Amino acid sequence: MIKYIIRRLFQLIPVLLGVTLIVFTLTYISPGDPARLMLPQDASDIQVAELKHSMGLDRTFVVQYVHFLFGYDGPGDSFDYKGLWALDLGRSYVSNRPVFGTILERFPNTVLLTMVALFLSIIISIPFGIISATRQYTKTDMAVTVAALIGISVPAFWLGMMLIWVFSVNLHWFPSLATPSNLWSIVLPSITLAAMNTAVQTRMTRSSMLEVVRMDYIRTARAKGLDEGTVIRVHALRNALIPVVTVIGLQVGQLLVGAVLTETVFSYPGIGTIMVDAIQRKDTPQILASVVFVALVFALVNLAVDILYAFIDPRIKAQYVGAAKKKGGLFRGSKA
Amino acid sequence: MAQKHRGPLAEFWKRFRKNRLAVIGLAIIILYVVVAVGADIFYTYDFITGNQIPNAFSGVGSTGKIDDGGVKKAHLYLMGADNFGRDVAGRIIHGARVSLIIGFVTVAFAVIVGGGLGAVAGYYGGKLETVIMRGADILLAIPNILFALAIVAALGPSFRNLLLAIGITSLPVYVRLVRASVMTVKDQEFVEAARAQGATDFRIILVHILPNCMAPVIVQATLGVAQSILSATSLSFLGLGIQPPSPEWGNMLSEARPYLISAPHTLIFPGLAIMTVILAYNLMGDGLRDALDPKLKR
Repeated sequence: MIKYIIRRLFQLIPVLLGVTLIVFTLTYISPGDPARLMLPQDASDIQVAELKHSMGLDRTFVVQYVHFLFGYDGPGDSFDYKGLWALDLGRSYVSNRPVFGTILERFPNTVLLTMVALFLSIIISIPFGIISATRQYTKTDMAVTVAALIGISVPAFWLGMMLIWVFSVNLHWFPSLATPSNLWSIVLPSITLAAMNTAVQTRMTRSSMLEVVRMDYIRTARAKGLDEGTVIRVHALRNALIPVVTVIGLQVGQLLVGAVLTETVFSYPGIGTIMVDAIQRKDTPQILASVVFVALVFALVNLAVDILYAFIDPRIKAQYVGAAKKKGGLFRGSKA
Repeated sequence: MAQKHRGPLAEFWKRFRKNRLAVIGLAIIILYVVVAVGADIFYTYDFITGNQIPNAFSGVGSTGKIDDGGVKKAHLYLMGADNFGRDVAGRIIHGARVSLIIGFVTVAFAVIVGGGLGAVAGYYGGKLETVIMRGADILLAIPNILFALAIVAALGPSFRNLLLAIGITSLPVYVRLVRASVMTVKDQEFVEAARAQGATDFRIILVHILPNCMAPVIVQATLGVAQSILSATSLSFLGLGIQPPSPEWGNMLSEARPYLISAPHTLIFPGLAIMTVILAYNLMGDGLRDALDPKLKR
């Protein structure tokens, strides 16, 4: 097991390096000279060149990328930073605060929103998926299916605004602005954020249940005279939930990203609003730090979920170990 | 492969038609395409971008006097008017054009480039495959919308950069999909036969292998159009996509956002437009999957 985890962690390294390289390349090629932006308009070319030198922006691409990862120690002290590995990428052009300071300060808010949304999506999707599957082709099933289809098609930012219009503007049930200190105000953004995932998970639960109830062991359970409730609960549901749990795990990362738009609509102080504010102010270090941060968290969450499954379902680990032992073995096996 | 014994297109249509929701999806898509192509006939462009301030926030179904190239005439505001008195229905119809172009162009780019890379990786294998697949893994590791957002934020908001960003982010899915299909097909007898007859690698991939790998790509591409449209409207909503005053659904929503209380119709209709078109592509994608998936074929 530990071997498996270590192997997975090693696999993560090239991916993380790739992600940081891409994000760094984007900064590097982005038009606009940060040094010129920081100086007054009438600054001479020599002054700009000097500032560029002290910011380390006159170095080659590779050197700058190494600085980005492992820190920069320039001629002065004002532009030094410890690099991405130490979560320090210098200061925001706008607020002059360390970019990761702002991110780490607001990240718990995003996590809170994400967790509430995840909880909502699970308690809604699984029961509805089961009801829909056990009553296949009834009106209930039709209603759930259509609702789920709408759920995967509605843009989150629009849904958020419509919820504000109905529940804040007209009914005055919830505030239209969300803050982490007031849990009541998080209800609408959580619903907004959860909508897409709830729909995906409902569809998944339904199709997985439909597949499982056709299995022989379900027929056996029925044949030995168990009542339908027990068959569904004990025999069908447990097996049907395996792929659902996988999807839920993958969705944690998606929720984190979806929070960017949802937070904007509700002016919720999380990573998403940092990112959008930074974009509007062309605050490049802040944008890139936020993007890299969310991408890294996304990768780590997915890895954690993968490892958790290996604990829950030994088949996943076995499959992995088998594939690693003889290269291409997995493919040849699946072709038959 | 096995499905060619009885007019594949006819059989496909027979199976597709059975799925009523998928047919509804197709009908909606056709409607949107017609509307998008004929946008200039339904609404003259000037009047979509030109301000008609006296009619600002006209209600749904109200009439107002508009200034159409210096000529005053009466006009019916089918879906009301926005903060500048521009016709919401007209802007939605012109926005349909932008969204459909984005959807098709980005998916075509992703299918051609991603599919090509996937085919090369699957056919040749070896180091080339490793490089391509690691690249795809890295692109997949960055969440789509976030990656697109970073690209546009770095390169600056413009139509070209938006297309580029969404095209690149939708690419890796097709690399994986085509590679997997090519690998299952490339060792079959008909490919060996073609090779024995002296066909070039390029011809084998293009003529013999790829046509047999199209089914999953078609399904993914249909769903991909929905994804692209959603990404584009999201980016425009954040101010990183199509810039106002060009009519685009996302920037319409962003412009209308301050008027949620006073003029909700300026928000409701563009959102409904996005939702129905994405729903339509999702319905059609589901239908295509059922119709093309040989595993479900009786």
